[in-house]
Order: sequence, then C-alpha cells, then structure tokens
Amino acid sequence: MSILMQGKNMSKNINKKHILQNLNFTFYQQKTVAIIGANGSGKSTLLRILAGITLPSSGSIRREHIRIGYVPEQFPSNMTFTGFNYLYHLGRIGGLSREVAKERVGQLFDQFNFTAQFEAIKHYSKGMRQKINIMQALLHQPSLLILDEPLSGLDESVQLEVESMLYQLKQQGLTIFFTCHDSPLVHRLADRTVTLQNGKLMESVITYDYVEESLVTIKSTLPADVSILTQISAIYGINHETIHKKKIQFTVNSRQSDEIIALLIQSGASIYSVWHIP
Amino acid sequence: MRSLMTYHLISYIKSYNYVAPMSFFIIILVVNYAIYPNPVLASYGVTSIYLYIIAAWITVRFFHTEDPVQQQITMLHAKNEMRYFCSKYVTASSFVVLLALISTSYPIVFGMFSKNPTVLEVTVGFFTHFLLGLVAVTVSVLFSRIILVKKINSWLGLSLVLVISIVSLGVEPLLPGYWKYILIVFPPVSELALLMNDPLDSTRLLLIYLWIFLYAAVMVGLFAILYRHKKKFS
Repeated sequence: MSILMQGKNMSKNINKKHILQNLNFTFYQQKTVAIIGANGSGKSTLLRILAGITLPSSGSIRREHIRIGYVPEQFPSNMTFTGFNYLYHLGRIGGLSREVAKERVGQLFDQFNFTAQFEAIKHYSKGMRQKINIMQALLHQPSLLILDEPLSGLDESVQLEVESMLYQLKQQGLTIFFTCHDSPLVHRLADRTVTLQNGKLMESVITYDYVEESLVTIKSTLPADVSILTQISAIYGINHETIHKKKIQFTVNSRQSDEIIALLIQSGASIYSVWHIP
Repeated sequence: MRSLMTYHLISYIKSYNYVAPMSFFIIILVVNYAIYPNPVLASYGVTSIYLYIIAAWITVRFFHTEDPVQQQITMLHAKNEMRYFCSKYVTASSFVVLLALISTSYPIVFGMFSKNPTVLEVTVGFFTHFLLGLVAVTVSVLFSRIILVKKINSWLGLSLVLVISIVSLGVEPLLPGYWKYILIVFPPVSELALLMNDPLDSTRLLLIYLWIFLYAAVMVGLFAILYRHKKKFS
C-alpha cells in the first residue's frame, strides 16, 4: 500500500476559532476513508484541506501529485449553464481538447444515465445537480475522489443511485474520501473510518481490511415492491434466484447481508431464513 | 488560460452583471460630450476618471459572478490558482481595453472636439484611460469577497479608496504635517487627470504612467499575499 497523503501536527483556525487541532494522519492509495463526526467537528474543513482548497494554519500536509476530484456538499443551484456546457467548459479548463472534452462529457452522461444535459442546471432537481456535481469531479479521471456529504438532502431513490455509483467507482480501484452522516453508506463503502470530535482526531478504525469475508444466503418471499430487486442488483451487483413462484434467494457477501435484509423487509418481503456458508 | 477566459466571459455575459455599469458608462460619456466643442486632453482626463470608477464597479461584480463553491471547483479543474486569478485579471483588463477604446473613439467619431486630435493626443488619451482602468481593476480585487468577507466592507472600502484617490490633490493641503504622505498609498488618479492639459508635460506624464503601472503590480502582489493568508486562516 503506497501512501497518498500524510498530515503532521496539522491545525486549522478560522477567524481565531480552532477548527482542527494537531491532526496526524496517513491515508493510503486505493482505500476508501469515511470521515465521520458531529456537525461542526471539522469534517468539511479537513476535506477541503485534503483537496487543496484551503491550507492548514499550522503543521504540514504532504500529498502525492495526483489529480483530485472534489464534490462539495452545496453545489451551486443558480448555474445558468446547461449540464453539457458546464462540464464541457470545465473539461477545457482542465486541459482537454474540444473533441476529447465533448467525448468525455458524453461518456459521463451515458455512465450516469443522464438525459437532461441540454437544460440549464438551475432548472435541475437536487438529485440531478448532485449527479452533475459528481460528474464534474470525475471529468478528468481523478486518482482521488473527495465527497462532502454526498447523500445530503437527496431522496431515497437518488441516494441508492449515488451509493451504487460510488460502490462501482470503489470497485474500479478509485481512492475515495468522504464525509457522511449516513451509517449504511459508511458501512458499505468505507475501508477505514476516521472520527473527528471538536476538531480532534478521536479514532481511526480499519473497518473491513482485516475482516474475513464470507457468504450468506438469504431466503425470502417476493417483496410487495419488486422494483427493490432491480435496485439491489444495481447497488450490490447481485441478482436473486427464484426458487419458487413467490420465493427468492440471494447469496451475498456477509458485509452486505444486514442492508439487503433491511431493504427486503422495508419492501414488504418476509425473511424465511438466513444462513452462513462456511 | 484561453479556455478559462472564455468560461469567465460566458459566465459574466450570462449573469447580466455588466448591464448596469456599462449602461451607466455610456450615459455619462454621452452626457459629458452633450455640449461641444470640447478640448481634447482635458475631456480625455475627465472621461478617464469616469472609466476608473466604472472599471472598479465592473471588476467587483465580475469577481463576484461565480458562486464561491463553483470558484473552488473551477480552481481545482484549472490545477493552479494563480492561473485562475491571472485569467480573471486579464479578462477584467480586456473589459478596460474595450471601454478605453469606446471612450477614446466616441468623441472623435461624433466630432465632439474643438479640433482634430493628433495621433499623440489620441494615444495619450487611450493609455490614460487604460492605465486608470487597470489600476481600478487591481485595487478593486482587494475589496472583492475573495479577500473581504463582508459585502458592505467591499463597497464601502472601495468607495472610500476611489473618492480619496480622485480628490487627493484637493485634500493634500488640508492634511497636517506628515499626514499628507498617507496619500502615497492611494493611486495617483488626480495627478494624472490634472496633467491632461495643453501643453502636455510628456516627461511627467510618463513618470506618472510608470508610477501607476508599478502601483498596479504592487496591488497584484498584495492580493497574492492576502489571498494566501486568507487561505490559511479562514
């Protein structure tokens, strides 16, 4: 594992208020790190320092020369550009030629299944704006993706879509740092969880690196809302097996089993059995 | 850099932030030349002060066009903050060139002068407009929200600097003792405007041009220092 970023005695003061205090950390490539903590604990400030948007007031941060994609929490809502033009211009600003920028933007719209690219961003829903927000961060194929509260304010179906995208990006080997209040996302995505409290690093937990993974079989009735099966397939990349007209079965990773059971129950399914495959 | 400038320009055009200052500039230009004939250099001196004020207005609005969060995103895409700010300065300066051209050519095209201006007079007229506009750009950026947090401080602070710099020669005799040296921190606007008279003192004019150019360069340097400080402590 090669080191991506290292902070030493890093502090940040904003208007004489101590936001971050003496942080020491090391982050590695191809690992997904969740930064959690209460409101005002300094999560967003830490992300902004990691992205290079702001500087620490004291101490040092050493980072590899890599391309960083940053997804802010509050994407501007009053943008007059169309989705296509917005991404095209950012592509050009980042050094892409006209043709490559158009091609790359087209690829992203296809990847995100986004069809409203020629409407002004100010007319987009919050979910659509968040997709554009993530697309701009991925435009130059970054080595590190930094997301500040990526699910904040999104409705459940868009949350699932965004989770699914992030999961796929992680599977492709992208390093991801994110802040989040949503514990299922932290569980599903993070390899490591860093907790901030009052600007201090309280604990850093390797979430899944050393957890031995195993398979679990879940057997349930067909849910009342069958669209959940498509969503589960999109998020986790697994399909159900139909074992009877009204009975289905999933074989899933043990890390995902709790969430899938919860989703099934919420969609009106009844769980018959859950067993661990040795 | 060109792609950044194109992006800034399109953002600015789409924002319509230019409508009020540009309209105001055209109106005062027309009103200024409503009674004619007019002396060439003195008229250019007056309209260059108008441009100085308008350029400051345009610059603050131009630097506020982009949402602060979007500005962070654009800077990350540009890979270099200095490249980002250079493109902003150059774009703002190109507005100044446009206004200087309008201001210099309008009275010639519509025959508002008492005589046909010489090439030297037109050149001096253009550079006086351009340099005062340029210094307004560099001073105004220091009062934009990139450096100042409160909007009220932006406009009040900038207005104060504009007014003092325009009336500095009138204020100087009123200030006691060494206090008059405090005026050195303001751009030499009134000095330049007063030089715009026949006969033209070319040596003094060139010295003031140099002084304004250096002043603008110092303002850009000051911006870089203040921006870095702000990035560390806010």
